[in-house]
Amino acid sequence: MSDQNSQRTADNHIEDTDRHHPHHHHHHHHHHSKESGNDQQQQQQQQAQQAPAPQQPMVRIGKYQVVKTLGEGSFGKVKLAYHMVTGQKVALKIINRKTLAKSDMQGRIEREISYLRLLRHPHIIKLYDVIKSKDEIIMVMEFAGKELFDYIVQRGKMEEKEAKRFFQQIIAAVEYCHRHKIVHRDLKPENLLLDDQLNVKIADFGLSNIMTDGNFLKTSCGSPNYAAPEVISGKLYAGPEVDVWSCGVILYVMLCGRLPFDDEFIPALFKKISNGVYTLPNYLSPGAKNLLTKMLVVNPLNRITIHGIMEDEWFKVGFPEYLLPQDMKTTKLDIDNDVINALSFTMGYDRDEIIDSIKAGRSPETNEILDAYELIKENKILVDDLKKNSSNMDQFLSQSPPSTWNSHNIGNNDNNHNNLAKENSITYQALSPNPDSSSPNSTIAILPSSLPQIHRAYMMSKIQQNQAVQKVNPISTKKSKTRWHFGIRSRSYPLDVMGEIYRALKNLGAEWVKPSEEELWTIRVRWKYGGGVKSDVEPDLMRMVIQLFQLEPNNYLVDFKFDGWESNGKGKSDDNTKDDNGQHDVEEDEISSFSAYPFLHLSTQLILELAVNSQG
Amino acid sequence: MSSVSQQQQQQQQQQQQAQAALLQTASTSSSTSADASSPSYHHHHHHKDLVSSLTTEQIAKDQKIALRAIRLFLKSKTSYDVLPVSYRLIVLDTSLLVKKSLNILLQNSIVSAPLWNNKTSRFAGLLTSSDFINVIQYYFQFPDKFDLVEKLTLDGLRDVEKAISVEPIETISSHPFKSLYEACVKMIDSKARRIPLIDEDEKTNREIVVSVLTQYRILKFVALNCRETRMLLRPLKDINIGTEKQMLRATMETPVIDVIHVLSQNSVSSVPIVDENDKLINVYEAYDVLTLIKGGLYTDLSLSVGEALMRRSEDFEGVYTCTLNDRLSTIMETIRKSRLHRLFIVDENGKLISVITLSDILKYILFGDADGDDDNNNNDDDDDVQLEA
Amino acid sequence: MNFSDSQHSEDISKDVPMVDMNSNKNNTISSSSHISGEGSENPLSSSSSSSASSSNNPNPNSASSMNLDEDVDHTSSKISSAGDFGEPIHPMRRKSTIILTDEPEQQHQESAQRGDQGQDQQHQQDQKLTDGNSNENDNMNVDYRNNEEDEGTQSRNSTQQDQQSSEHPELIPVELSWVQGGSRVFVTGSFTGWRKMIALNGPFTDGSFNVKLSLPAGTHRFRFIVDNELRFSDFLPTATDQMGNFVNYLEILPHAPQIDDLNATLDKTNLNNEERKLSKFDRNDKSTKSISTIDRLTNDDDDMGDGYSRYHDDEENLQPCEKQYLQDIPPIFTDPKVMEQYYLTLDNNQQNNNNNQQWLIPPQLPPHLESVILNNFSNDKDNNAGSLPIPNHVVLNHLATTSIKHNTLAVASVVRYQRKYATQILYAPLQ
Repeated sequence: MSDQNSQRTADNHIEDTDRHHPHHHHHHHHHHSKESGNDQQQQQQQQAQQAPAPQQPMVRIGKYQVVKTLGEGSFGKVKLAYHMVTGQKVALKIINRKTLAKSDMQGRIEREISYLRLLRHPHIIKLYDVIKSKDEIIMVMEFAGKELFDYIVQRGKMEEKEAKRFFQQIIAAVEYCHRHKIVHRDLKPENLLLDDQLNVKIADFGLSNIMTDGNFLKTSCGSPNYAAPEVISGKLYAGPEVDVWSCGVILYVMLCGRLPFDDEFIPALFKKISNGVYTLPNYLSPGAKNLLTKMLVVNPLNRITIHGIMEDEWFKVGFPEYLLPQDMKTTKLDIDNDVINALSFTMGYDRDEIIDSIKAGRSPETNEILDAYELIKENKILVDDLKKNSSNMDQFLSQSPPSTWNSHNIGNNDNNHNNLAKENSITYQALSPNPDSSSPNSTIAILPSSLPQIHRAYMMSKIQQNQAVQKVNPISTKKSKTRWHFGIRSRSYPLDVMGEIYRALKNLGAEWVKPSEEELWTIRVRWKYGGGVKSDVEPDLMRMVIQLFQLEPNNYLVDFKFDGWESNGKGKSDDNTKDDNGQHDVEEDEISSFSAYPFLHLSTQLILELAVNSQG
Repeated sequence: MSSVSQQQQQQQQQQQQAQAALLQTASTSSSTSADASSPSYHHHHHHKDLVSSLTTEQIAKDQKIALRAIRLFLKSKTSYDVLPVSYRLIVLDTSLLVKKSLNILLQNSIVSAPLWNNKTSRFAGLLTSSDFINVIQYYFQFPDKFDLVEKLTLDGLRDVEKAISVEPIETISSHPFKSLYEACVKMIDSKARRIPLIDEDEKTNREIVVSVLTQYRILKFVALNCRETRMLLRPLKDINIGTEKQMLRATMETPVIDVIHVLSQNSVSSVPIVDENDKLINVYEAYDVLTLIKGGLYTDLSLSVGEALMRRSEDFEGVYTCTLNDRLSTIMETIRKSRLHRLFIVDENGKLISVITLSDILKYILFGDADGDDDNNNNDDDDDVQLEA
Repeated sequence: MNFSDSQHSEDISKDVPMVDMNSNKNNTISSSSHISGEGSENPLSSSSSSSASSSNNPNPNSASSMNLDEDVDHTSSKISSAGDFGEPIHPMRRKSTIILTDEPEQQHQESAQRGDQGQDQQHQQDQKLTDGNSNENDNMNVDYRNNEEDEGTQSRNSTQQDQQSSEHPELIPVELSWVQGGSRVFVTGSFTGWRKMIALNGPFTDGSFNVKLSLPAGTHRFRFIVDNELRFSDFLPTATDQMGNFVNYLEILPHAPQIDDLNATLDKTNLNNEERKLSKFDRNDKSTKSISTIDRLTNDDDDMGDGYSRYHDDEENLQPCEKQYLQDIPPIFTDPKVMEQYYLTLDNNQQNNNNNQQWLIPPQLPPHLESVILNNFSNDKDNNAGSLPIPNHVVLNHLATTSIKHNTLAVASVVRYQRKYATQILYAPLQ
């Protein structure tokens, strides 16, 4: 048994093995019930038990030695195990293939597997491996003993510092998912596991989905208390904004120990959520209140974005460096006089300037000087070196102003290699302050007589008598504001609009897929694009999705969306989103086609046809 | 024509100083334009005397170093890097009427636009102000063909070219992921002022115009991202760039049609206008032609160039001038801050000497001042006006 | 009403779950409502926002004409369409109007506001818990992995330096070299946390410097300090951070062959940091297979003995089946009898206020499609590169139109070009 296994965390033993009593229905006594019903998430909840489990025969799955059962999911058990060679503690989520096939969860499990495999982040549960046997699929996952939910239940609301730490980890993980085009859609404390060091691990990607260009998501999923208004009202959404709302609710629950939107009566709960009605206790700090109010905004377009959260002052306090996405790393500097002196000597910056820049922090203006400061600060040896090596230093420092082109040292190393970079960096640095064209030795100017008003006055004064000239007036500079809209609008009956579009498509020789009942207002068109020289190599069947939307009662909008190409005959679909039955063609090179002009051309044909038809 | 009185001349001088002051204030306020990524860091370092303290050999050596560094920068960057993260591209269908396309250019304040032939679904060259110059010349040559000109479509432009025997400029293009250096070389070789970036769409194997890169945007990109431009301190008179070119001049009274002929014959993009003692007072640019025949009326062709210039829109920024003592570093700085397409070189009392176009600057950066001083006196084209991509 | 996410709802609905709102933890934090177990109805799928509350009788007085007028110079002449609509079954129903001109500005705003209020009213009415077992089929949750390579997923095969992960990341020897002169050269980067500076040995006879490092697989950013000045090498791929500072950049594939000489990566075109792209010239292998190799705790082979073997997700995928395209118009849109039946179901739905028949009404327009980035194109003198705000991914590939002016139609679509967004506009004549 490797040492990892014997590791026992002293605290938080939850003797809560019996999890099968029915769900209780009142607020304060939170009880954690597990139902054998169709639980769609795996939960490994308790810590290893103090007393050794009764000696079951040591079951082995593949290379993993099962220790005990942690919990019961709707498809099978979640077991604690360790890898016999490495001793690594894992949670095995065992899915019974028969029950899976019977239910319609097949897609969700496959999706969870494929997404978890993509995601590698310190705060997302890792899927180490997936093993299958005749009747089981076993997901070998990172083991995290506790749940944020239990943690909150036991300890009630948290100090802001602790809540912020969890929240920073959650947001960093969610930002990572979104960067990989994956929306979780079911973020809640139950799905946020905690490892022994109380680090958050986001789990259960069963309801997550992938964001694709041009496509909305629709599913109303996740538990209502954590679901965004647009989700509970069944509207279409882009994706990230619903995770932001859920994170807002989670932050609220951590800080206040209760739900922002809660009600016995579901419709009342929905009303509160869709109107964004909740109370902010005043023990919350202004920073926390401000962030919560920006996250729990009903209109998805005005809701703060993940990057907005990461820029939020309250959020940034104590944000660990390792969580920063690579390109946002900046460091704070303290003031070190030695370094300032070295910097002002070598670079010629004034002392107070350096100090001001350090205080002002990173900005385009101070970037350069802070780079140099940080460089020298990091490199104390260089500074000391400069001091020690007096001869070089004197020669180096003696020139006042520091000689930018010390021809002596340029000369010797110029010839042996074509020093493409700055010959002597000090040359370059000393010149870095940009000599504005305003410096006296610039005579660049605008010719006054070329200015329209002055020219007009000049012409008027010269040739009063020729009236014809007077009325040569300048072209209007008022740029007529061309208003752009998506698609085209119609105020007639939806059925009529669809009928007209179908007729126009028919006249133009396009074809479409027989719409299902749910997709009454969608037309999936395939259209032969005549343009371009005939060649089989050139796919010439363009796919387009036409969707009728309601702007407001009896005011509709017809939306056209480009949906990729198909070559005729071979039926090889090479669309950029997905193929026929939703399965994605893995090896398809999916750089989406970036030439919109064929699509724009066909759309103008369709709009013309519609315009002509409606004129009768 | 009344001689310009002494008093008026002083008055113009004061205006010029006021104007220069205006320019100075404009430039010191760090108008970091949207894509100014390099920090414009002003600090009252004792820079002025530093430059004057340098010997001319030091300046010359440093200029060589800077030029090499800038060329390396151009080689290491691609045309794609110059594109904003989100940008627009206006393309015109070749079946559009020339008259209509003129309105579209003016309405969107763009100077050129790629053409798309929907029958071949192929890119069909660029529409530029020289096309409109050709149409004007055609109309001037065959005034009776007015209705044909009215119904002329963009497809028809090529036959207009043939009719007035102007050889069509060969359509050059570059791949967005080829180096910026290569795109510059192509432009200089073909004397074009802009180059369409063409890529092939994997899915449909059809070529697609990604964007159109102009000399102005390239030089601005260099000025923004390449600090070495500050080391180009040799005055214009010492370097062989745009000096002493025999330029055709016009006066305010010259008929605009003659100026248009000059624009087309010498394939220059602007004609300076001088007063009787050769003092630069204004410039007629190829772009001004568009405003001349807006709305398809060709009646203004009889105007003098002075009168035609009154058609210019109020927000025209003015003509930039400099002297032979100016340096490329300050010129690049001006390019970084405001949109200009050339600078006219004048002497102390404003007398026209020559012009330095963006192509001259680009040619100098790419090829100029190589170890031997290149002495080929580039007297060819002028730089075209680009209001925008 | 599914819009765009899933392609074909009928053949995928079978594998798309009826969303089970009943999280197995029916604890009071998650939802106070008692949701019974099996087949629990889905309270979340309450009637869609555009519930039957919308009055269905058409607005009789709206002009029935195709206003294709040219509204520039002369007053718009309404071309009233005299075309008949066949023998009208519903006398008061009138010809369709496809409005292609701008609605007057103010009316547009006001309709937009009405749209918002409309949505709010719908919320209030939308209180009835759906009793019927609404077949809100979550056809969004289609199992597909769009492996459209873009910056996001493309970097997936880069392993995050994972302080937490227990397994020791396999290190790959790599040599960094600097060939651009200088007398003392250091390198610092993401692998030293931008803190420590590693000295390069050199200058060698040819003036170059180099150092051998062993780095975990993944993407590393670094810069050189040459004679006390922060520099980036022009002979290595560069990436710009938000500030526009170029940093060098190096991607090490986990099981990539030993990259002994960095110059091998020289031909890689520059990748812009927040715009990393796959240039056509060096499309590396991005199939998901290579990722699972790093993931695995151990490198057990696929077959793990006694009936267990590794699950590879593509085996499970079904073969794509060919969609059937046809040219006949569904009767509901043409056959008056079927249309009649539709209106009846719609009306009785309204009466007994059962609005689980969500699909009867077109879906509500998502707010993202209400404004086009082209409308906030700043035309000031600085913006000479035609730059636009960054679009939301959901508006990509959608058609934007303007009203017809001077008999010309302008259409546009925002398209992804490598890591950037090109809004392609086409002006075409109306012949």
